[in-house]
Amino acid sequence: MSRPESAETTTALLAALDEVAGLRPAAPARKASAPRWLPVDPAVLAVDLGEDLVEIRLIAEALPLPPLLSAAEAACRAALADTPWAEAALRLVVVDLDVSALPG
Amino acid sequence: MAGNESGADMTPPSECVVAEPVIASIAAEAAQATPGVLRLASGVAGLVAQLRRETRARWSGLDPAPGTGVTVRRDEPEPGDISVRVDLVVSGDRTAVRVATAVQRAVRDAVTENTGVVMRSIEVSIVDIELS
Repeated sequence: MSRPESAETTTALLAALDEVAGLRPAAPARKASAPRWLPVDPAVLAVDLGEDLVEIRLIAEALPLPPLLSAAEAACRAALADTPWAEAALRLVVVDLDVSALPG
Repeated sequence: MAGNESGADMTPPSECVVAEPVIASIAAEAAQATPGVLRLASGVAGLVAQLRRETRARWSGLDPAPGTGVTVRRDEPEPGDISVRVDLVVSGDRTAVRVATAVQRAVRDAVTENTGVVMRSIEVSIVDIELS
């Protein structure tokens, strides 16, 4: 699995997750003042492409999680289709919860 | 912390994991909203954990939901064995045991509904009763 393939797949996964409202990649926030020369979107740090396992760390901004995770899983599986990771296991890890997700 | 796992015959396995801070925040919210609970009590370990979490959160642009007063433990080697402990201060106006039972129910319902995680035990510890 080449480096360009990894980059393309990571980008596709992040784009897929972008469509799932209520979940976002657990990665450093990119501020508007971030230097333009920064070569990569920090969100790529939330994605690990292993040989047999794709792990994505997420922050929840809405509840309940089960429907969000189902949507994220379907979106990620679609993004992984036709890539070298199509048969890899997928692990979605919700590492933290934003206060905006709680009703109080 | 394994939440649920799925995988049909022909599809590769997928796993959704809900980490301890998420469960702690949901449990804390549910406990705090229970009538008779004045506040959640946090020991030194809890404060340190919350400080660590907030520091990490600042880095990721997150405003973390508070989870102080709740300890979530995963009992190895079974990843599904999740125990929650809630430390709280209750009002003297109500029977402490009834408040504790209500907190257990509220935490169980909120965590299961919002995460799909089923807990093995929910321990409620009343560290103080305040008389008005």
